[in-house]
Amino acid sequence: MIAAFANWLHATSLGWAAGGGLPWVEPACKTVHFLGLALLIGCAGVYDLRLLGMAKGLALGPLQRLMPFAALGFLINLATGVVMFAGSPFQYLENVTFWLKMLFIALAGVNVLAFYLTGLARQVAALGPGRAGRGQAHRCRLALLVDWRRVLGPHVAVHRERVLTNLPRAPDVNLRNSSGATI
Amino acid sequence: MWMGFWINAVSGIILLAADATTKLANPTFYVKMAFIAAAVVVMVRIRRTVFGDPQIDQQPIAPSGKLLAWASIICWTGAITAGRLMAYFGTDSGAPQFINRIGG
Repeated sequence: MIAAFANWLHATSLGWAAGGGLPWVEPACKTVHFLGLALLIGCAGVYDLRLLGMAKGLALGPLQRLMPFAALGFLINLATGVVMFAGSPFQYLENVTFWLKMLFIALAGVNVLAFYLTGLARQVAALGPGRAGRGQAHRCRLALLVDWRRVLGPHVAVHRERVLTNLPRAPDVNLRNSSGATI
Repeated sequence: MWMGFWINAVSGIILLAADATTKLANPTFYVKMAFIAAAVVVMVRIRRTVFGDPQIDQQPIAPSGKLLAWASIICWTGAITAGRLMAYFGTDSGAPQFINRIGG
């Protein structure tokens, strides 16, 4: 079923463009993916570190207002990720680290849901400056922080794996730079 | 903040050492370095002018402070973009273990 979906997605014009039909799409997506990642971890990570007791002078409630930016970072990465996946889906599907990455993103998602649905977020928001998060919130967010680290590792590994396993790139990717060297 | 900077500086030097000839010949590398240098200058100026102001919490941030904030965002975004595009510009190192067309 996943293979059928991957084939369908790859056959769309999106798959064609990302697979090398428009040579700038893949580099652009990778760049924006990186920026989205920085936005996500930059916002969520600061919040996590504060919950763990670093920079206690910052009030947690106002800091929570950064979370929409973290969500924006996630959406940017979801969108660019889907485009890159459409470009060469089997490079990802056949890669164990891709699935590890998906697993940890799912865990991070469960973690975020738990944090908001159990009311922990509201309790934590009431904490003023100078207070550490309560044990439960600590554990929850600590798990989240660890999750993101796990996501980041495979994130790099997924792209590296293509080199290591020498998986073929889409055949029509043939960028040329100004000096005429094939990129 | 500086911890993150140094983690990236050290790992970046290791990556550079692994394939220095190709990377040092890549103009995009110098674009990235210029953005980082500018970002650090901006960061120091923010620390001095914005955070050095004892009235920081009493009044809205001055336009010059906001300008510095935008400059910082643009510099770091530029550094990330240039760094990412290093894989697509300049000559390839040719050695299979140093394929610089692909990266995280």
